[in-house]
Amino acid sequence: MKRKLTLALLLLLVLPALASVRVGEAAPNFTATDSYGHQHSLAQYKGKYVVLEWHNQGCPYTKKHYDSGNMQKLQKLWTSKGVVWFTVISSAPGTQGYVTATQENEYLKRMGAAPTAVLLDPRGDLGHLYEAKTTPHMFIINPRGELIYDGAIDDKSTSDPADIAGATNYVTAALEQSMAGSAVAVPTSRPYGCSVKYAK
Amino acid sequence: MSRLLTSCACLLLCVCGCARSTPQQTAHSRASLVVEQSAATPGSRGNLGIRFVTDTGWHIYWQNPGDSGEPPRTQWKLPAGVTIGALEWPTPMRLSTAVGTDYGYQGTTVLFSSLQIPATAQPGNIEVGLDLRWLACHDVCIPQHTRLKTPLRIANAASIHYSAHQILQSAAERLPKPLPPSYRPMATILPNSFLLTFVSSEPITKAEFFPAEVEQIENSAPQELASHGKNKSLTLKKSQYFRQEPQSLKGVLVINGRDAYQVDAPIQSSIKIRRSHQK
Repeated sequence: MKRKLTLALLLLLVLPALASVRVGEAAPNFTATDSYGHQHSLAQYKGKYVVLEWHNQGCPYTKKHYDSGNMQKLQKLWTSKGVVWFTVISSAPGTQGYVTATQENEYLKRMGAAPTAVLLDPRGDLGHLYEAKTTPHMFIINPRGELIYDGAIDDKSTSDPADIAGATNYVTAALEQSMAGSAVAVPTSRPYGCSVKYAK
Repeated sequence: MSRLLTSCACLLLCVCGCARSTPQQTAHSRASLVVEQSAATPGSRGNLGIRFVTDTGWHIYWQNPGDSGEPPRTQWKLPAGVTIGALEWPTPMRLSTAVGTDYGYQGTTVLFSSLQIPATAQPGNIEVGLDLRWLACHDVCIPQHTRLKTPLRIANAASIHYSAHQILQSAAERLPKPLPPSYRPMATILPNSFLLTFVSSEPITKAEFFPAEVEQIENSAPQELASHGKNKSLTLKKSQYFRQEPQSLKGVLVINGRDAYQVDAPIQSSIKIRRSHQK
């Protein structure tokens, strides 16, 4: 009995540490609503790769990858290979990047963006669950539901679109390596960009 | 007489004004190039600075921007043989954001450097040019880009701009100083943290470390100072993005909230520690 109690106490101590998102561990499940009003949960996509892309359309770093067409190219490439791509907007109302569903759908059309869906997260629940820090900030979850990448979109941490050409794209590298059955060479990196505009 | 004085003063002002390139008016922050010399002799070295002024509440970034942002980037446009030294950065301040901690500057900031004229330079007029990109942020960020240039005369006798000299002199005072060797800084890599140790007989109540490199220290984590007599240690939580063991821990150490020092603490490997414990 005493041992059970000790174990329970130990678990209680350990649990908060497990709550944070870590590469190599199960990605926390979530349920969120997209810009067309549909609900998505991570659990329903078990068996598929899932990419999470934190987004703020006013942020210069997001603009770098959208005005150049780089993000749309990645979205098209990977969704065509069966990857589920969620763009997530955690900007609170009144902050940069906050959009209504209608505004976002107009933006998607105008930019030729092609994610599977855009998850609207104005309360920041999903953002805080994944500890998303910047826009962009990229996460990849493998078909077993484990987080395999957490970090920057590429290795050139600037807002200059001219730097895209010579950059190593960490998302593409991680997906290619994981799909080929190898370990992800760079599983974490410091995400770069604007801070996510969470509700204060 | 008074008219003569006025025109003299005017001339002086004009001369002083020439030391700086015209500040480029851009949104929420401005940058200008400050060159100490108006005339430089062949083979000489002079001081130079990039001066930023931000609007209230706005900031630019240190060489390590922290959890978001980006440091200013320079591309110099120089005549053949003329070279610019490495940029020296004043001690940054911590800037808290909703998602972490950034390192940067508010108000007026001068990044310090030097200008080397080759011994083979011929007398005449040259131009020091700079293509500058930086990020200015408040709640939102605006990338800025400007081209700056300042004329410089190569002559047999040097002369300096007094106002530029003053700006650069006070800028130099704001640079972190080399840490005295007596501090013997060392860094040890522990499972979840770095232990930065140093020796000082002075009373130290506060020490704060600014890492020069990204992906080393958790920027928002508290830094715990411990004293065992002269031996001091600062526990720095490892960044969640830490991957590669560095050869040394580089950064700025601010002691008692006042004295800023450049630190380059060699990493003491765990093997060495074990040996020293066995002795």
